[in-house]
Amino acid sequence: MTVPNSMTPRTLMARLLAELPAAMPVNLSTNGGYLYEAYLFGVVLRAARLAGFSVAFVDGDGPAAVLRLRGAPGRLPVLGPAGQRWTHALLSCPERPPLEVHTAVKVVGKSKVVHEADVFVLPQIDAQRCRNFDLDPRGNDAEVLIEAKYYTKKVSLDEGREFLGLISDVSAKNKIFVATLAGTSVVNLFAGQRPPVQHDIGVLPGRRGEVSLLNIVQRFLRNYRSSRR
Amino acid sequence: MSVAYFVIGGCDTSQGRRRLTHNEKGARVTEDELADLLNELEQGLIDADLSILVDQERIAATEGKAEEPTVEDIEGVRQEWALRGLKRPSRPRADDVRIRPLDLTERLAQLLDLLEVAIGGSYAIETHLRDDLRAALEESPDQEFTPQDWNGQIVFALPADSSFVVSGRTEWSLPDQKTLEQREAPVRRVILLINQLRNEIGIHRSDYLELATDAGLADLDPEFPGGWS
Repeated sequence: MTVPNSMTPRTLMARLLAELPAAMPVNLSTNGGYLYEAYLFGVVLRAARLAGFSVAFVDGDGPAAVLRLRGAPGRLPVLGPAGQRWTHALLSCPERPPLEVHTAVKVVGKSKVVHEADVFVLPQIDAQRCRNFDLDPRGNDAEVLIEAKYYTKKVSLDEGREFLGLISDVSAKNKIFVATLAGTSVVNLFAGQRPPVQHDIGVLPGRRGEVSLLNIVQRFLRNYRSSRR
Repeated sequence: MSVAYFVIGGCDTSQGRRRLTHNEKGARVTEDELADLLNELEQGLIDADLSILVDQERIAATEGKAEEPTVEDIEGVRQEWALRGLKRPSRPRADDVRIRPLDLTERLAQLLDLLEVAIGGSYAIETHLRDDLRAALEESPDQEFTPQDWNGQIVFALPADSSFVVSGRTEWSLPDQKTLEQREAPVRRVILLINQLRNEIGIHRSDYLELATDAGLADLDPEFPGGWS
């Protein structure tokens, strides 16, 4: 398929806008953020495989046949109704206790205020404690916390400052801000902190941002495997 | 009417809206045409239910970008002071910057990048998500879960305690692969048109969208426009 190259910018623009409806993903302007969380969930699982973990999909009843992810932030201890349990990933390695990977869960900061974690990796023992006692996980239980901004969420300086507030309250071991695209202001804001805030922009299939995130998470998980508690 | 040409990306918008812009490839667009194109794209995206892209572009435009004073800036001030019979002005410090709003070219470039992510990035995420997740599960030595336990279905649902309401729907699934790939041709056309618009106007694609040379992650087709296959 080729597009004739003799068109003026105005003609091209008109054609572009005319082609848009057929190319647009269904429901994406409203639900896309959760698709992005699922994608990042996948990146974390691939990093886990590369770091030598085995990966399984699990829900409140055992192995999961359907990957059922939250479409809005929810509570980790709530398993979901029978037959419609929320799925998480279980990462296992011989050296250390298993980890769980959740998407869109509420977490509690040092201030006892609730926050939302788009992707959250924590030891299974801590997740079980939450399920047993109907508790929300503490931010400092987390091995990895990812704040994700798909194109459907705005990424302004306000969101950048919000993330700085989040990481000061949620003392997860590894916190990463991830976005499809972001302006230079947010990037400069993170880079200007001491120590710099971990962030990856352009995290999309096959892009450098994806490779970078994969490597970062892989390093975190390797460190977890090799560390002694 | 005499016209002056200047290189896009380094244009000085303060010197009138009648000048032509000009890039290395010889494409020429007047500032008025640029403004019209930006308005047309913004309105078209709002009509296509993608106003979030316009919001982000406008936020980025307002937040602006940090710019260091150039040698020409410094020389200009020095000459002006000399003409006025003043002493030499002090030199800017190494990390002195000014924050200026994005110009029309930068805004249009940003909006086209966002649109490419919305269309191409979403398509790539959707079409690769199952395979990526499956790849993380494969070769797992875990005895309780086998990759075959997962039927490939990905469901997003609103938690019962969620205050979010999305068009009355509480659950949606990632379409099957065949349905997703029906968008391939329109996605190709849109990305081609975006690229052609960039060429005609003389603007660059964000580095964040460049394919990683060492990607090897997703099975992406580099021949697909933008590498979003």
